[in-house]
Amino acid sequence: MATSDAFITKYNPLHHYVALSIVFAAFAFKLEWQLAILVILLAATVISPRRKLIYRGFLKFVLPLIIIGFFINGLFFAGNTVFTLGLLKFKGAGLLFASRVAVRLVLIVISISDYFSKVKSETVSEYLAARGADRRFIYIFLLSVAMVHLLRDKLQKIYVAQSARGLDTTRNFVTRARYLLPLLVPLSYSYIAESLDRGIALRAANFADKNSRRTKSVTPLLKVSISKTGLILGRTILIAAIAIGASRLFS
Amino acid sequence: MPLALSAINLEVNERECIMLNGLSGSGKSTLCLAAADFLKAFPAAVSSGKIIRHRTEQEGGTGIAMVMQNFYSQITYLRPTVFEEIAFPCENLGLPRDEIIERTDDAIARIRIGHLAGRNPLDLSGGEKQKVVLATAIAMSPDLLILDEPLSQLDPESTSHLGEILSGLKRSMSLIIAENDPYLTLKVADRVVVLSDGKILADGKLENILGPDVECEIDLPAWTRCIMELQNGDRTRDHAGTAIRYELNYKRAIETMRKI
Repeated sequence: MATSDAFITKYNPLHHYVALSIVFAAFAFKLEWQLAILVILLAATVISPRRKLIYRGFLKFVLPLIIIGFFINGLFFAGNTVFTLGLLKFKGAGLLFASRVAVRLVLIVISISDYFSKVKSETVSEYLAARGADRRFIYIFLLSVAMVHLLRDKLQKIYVAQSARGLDTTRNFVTRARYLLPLLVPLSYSYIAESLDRGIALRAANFADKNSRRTKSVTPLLKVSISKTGLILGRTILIAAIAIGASRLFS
Repeated sequence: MPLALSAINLEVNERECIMLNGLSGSGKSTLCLAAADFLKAFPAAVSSGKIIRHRTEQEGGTGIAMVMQNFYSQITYLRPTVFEEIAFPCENLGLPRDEIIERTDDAIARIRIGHLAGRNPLDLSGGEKQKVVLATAIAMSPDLLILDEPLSQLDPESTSHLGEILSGLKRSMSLIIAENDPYLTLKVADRVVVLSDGKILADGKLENILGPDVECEIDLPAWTRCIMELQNGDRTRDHAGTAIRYELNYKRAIETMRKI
């Protein structure tokens, strides 16, 4: 039989530092280095089954926007024409600028998505609480995070109920979204109506207890799965990335 | 707009189980919230009265724990496993890690949900979620445990098991249970409080309230109707008012239920 420890989340703060470092690095390095980081990140995204969703989201939503931006910038910049397409003349400087912006944007999107896929929001709240963040802020944060799970759960139920009533689930995403869009208002309202109950529930779980020792010591159940050396290294990398990124951005 | 509760005076004695009976809208849930001191958000809900809790401070005790009628909102969905969900209130108290694990393991064993410990609370059924919320409340080791309709999603086997658990818990804490279930009332109640229209109509031992050969003229909880049907007791519907008038031999009815 599994021990209790098997049911307790492992928390690795290094994920915070690495993901944030990549965001800042997007502003720091030269284009070729940025491209190298991008290739590594994309490869990891494609290989890992857990990150497939990020990859699909990237292909569906981010990539078309980048391509459009790429061509628009290519049209309106001054400088040498690289190629012509009928009456349209694409300039080298514009395309280069668009490439830089696109690579940075992709790096930011992927690292942030990766951050959220690895670091669960509840552990972020634990992290904040353990370091003495304002209890009221975390209270609101927890209620907001819970809303995401609750709305997803309710939306799924509504979707199943609507399917039982004849909603065509074989159609594409846009058609299904169009059917479900009118349900978002009552869905949001139901959450607001329930928020008081959820607030009481958090109080019942001692969250708002004034005598709680939660903010005075590290949350005891959480298992931090990184050594002190790793933690220091992660923080150093992050500080360096911020410093370099900021210096490049404002230079 | 009528008040949910009016002129409520309730004393909760140490290690006593109070069963709140009453029809829908009689104020059971509001009284539970008031007893848990969660009614500050609704100053207009109660006109007057007070709830006095007699207790001795226990070491490690956490005051009051409550399982709400809308227990779905008590699952925080902030923890990826049931085990961590149950441990959440103990974590908030800042208890030592070993004690949290011990309490959580104990609560899981009591409610018999060991097979759910590693699962995501989002994937549980209604009954399973209710058991998790119950385990969460038990893990807090409160002085007073308040359960608002704790059987609403449980199967008969779990209901019977919960009766045994509550009988055991009575030895270490006070209980307030809002439930119209006859089995639970007979099994664990030391006192029965009958509510109607936000007022306490009767408060005392079951035998005293529903004494033998008494003609009751109160809005009785649904379970007495169930007993009545079993007993084929005489009943007359009062068409003039909203109240239903029963003429029952409650002693006989209770004896029958005990046999069941």
